Amino acid sequence: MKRVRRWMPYEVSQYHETEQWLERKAAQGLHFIDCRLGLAAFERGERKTVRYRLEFAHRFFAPEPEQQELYKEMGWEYVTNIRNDYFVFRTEDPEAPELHTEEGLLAEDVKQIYRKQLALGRTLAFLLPLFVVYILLYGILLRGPLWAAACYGTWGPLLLALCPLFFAAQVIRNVVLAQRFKRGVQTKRTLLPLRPYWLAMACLVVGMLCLYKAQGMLFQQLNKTPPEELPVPTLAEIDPAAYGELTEVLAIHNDPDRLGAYWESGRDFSCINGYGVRRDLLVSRTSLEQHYELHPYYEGSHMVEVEQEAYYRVDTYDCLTAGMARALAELLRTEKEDRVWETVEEGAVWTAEDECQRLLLCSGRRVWQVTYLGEAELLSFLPAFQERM
Amino acid sequence: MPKRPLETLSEAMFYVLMALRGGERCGVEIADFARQRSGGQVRIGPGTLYAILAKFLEEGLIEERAAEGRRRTYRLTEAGGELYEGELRRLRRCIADAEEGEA
Repeated sequence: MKRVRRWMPYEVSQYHETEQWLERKAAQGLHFIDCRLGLAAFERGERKTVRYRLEFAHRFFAPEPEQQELYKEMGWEYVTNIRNDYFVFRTEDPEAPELHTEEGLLAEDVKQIYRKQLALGRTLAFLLPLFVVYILLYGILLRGPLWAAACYGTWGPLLLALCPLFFAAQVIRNVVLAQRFKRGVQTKRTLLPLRPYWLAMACLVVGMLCLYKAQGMLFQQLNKTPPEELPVPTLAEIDPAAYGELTEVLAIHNDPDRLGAYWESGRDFSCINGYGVRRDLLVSRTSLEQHYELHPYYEGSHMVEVEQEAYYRVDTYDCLTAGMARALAELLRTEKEDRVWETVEEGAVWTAEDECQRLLLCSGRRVWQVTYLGEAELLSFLPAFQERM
Repeated sequence: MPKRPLETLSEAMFYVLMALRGGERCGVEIADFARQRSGGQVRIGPGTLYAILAKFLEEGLIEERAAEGRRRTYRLTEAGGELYEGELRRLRRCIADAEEGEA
């Protein structure tokens, strides 16, 4: 039997419409068998006159076996439940009595549906301020520009920011529907074809996935290979046209000993798939061409003491996501900057050039800005640096 | 909020008690009894019947007896019998009042 799926077009309070909709489908040869995540499944078959009735679900999953048995003996067959709100029964027997023959008892069920709608509305109304607080904290913690950069760099935060709006729409919708239900107004159509709650959930899931992916976690999960463990490319694998003539390639893996040893070896270096410097380390170029040392790192900006009257400042920025890091690096880039700015997906390329005024390195969630300090900049920066030291 | 005990019986409730007054019956037999005794005037749907039975069980007006597979039979308790008698008296009084008024 071929199965056909259709969106369930009505809300929980529109049970009469749902019953009629299922009966119309049966008359077209589509017989209702299941409903999951708002999608109703039908089996194509003979066109029949079938009565469908919905009963408020007093328990999860399915009616009690005794109840099903009683209903069956009286001509009604249990089909499935819809969203755990209703149990659906059907009969082809025109003589079978109506499921509910007393309005008083049915009214009790109706009241429960109304209460459920309002409870859902209240829950969403409670969640809404939490989302707003989350968004505010997110913006405050990341301090203005980065918040903008986040929106620029990845869809994640933007999608998460849309969540409360859709939740708010759902709250309003629930309360409106509950009020209409209380007044006994049965609408033929839903207020909106797409439920805001679905949109909110979609934004939440996709937004979190965006952040997750941006942070590299998804990458790690999928590949089981963290970026630090990526294989070191050989010189033959590196395109000189893209990265310049390299004499040696080193994956530093945030290992200060190897990093120091390498720098102290006095060779020009390039780094691919490595991170260049660790967060708690500072590169100090005591010789522009030959000698590198490591110094304890301080939060914020740092100056590199350099012999031969060349001074560099190293600023390190940590971002929440790789997308934000790329966006930040883009923001930091200026027209005056030398073109020593490269990023690759899961690593970075850092080519040392003696004459660069500024070097931007974006790797993973971190951005380094290495700036050449002329005399004026040096004088303005020196007191702050000495104070820190 | 605690549930209110039954104050008055609906027509279907009254027929359910009446059916069980005659002895143990299962759900379908109760519905059939009501339909036959009322000459087809009272039809109790399965949803209504199930809700009434659940309510009566909760109130201690009926009790479950032997279960054949999933089919259960019910019988009236003493409290159920008293409620039925009380309701019967009330209805008789109502009819008597009505007839007196007519005369």
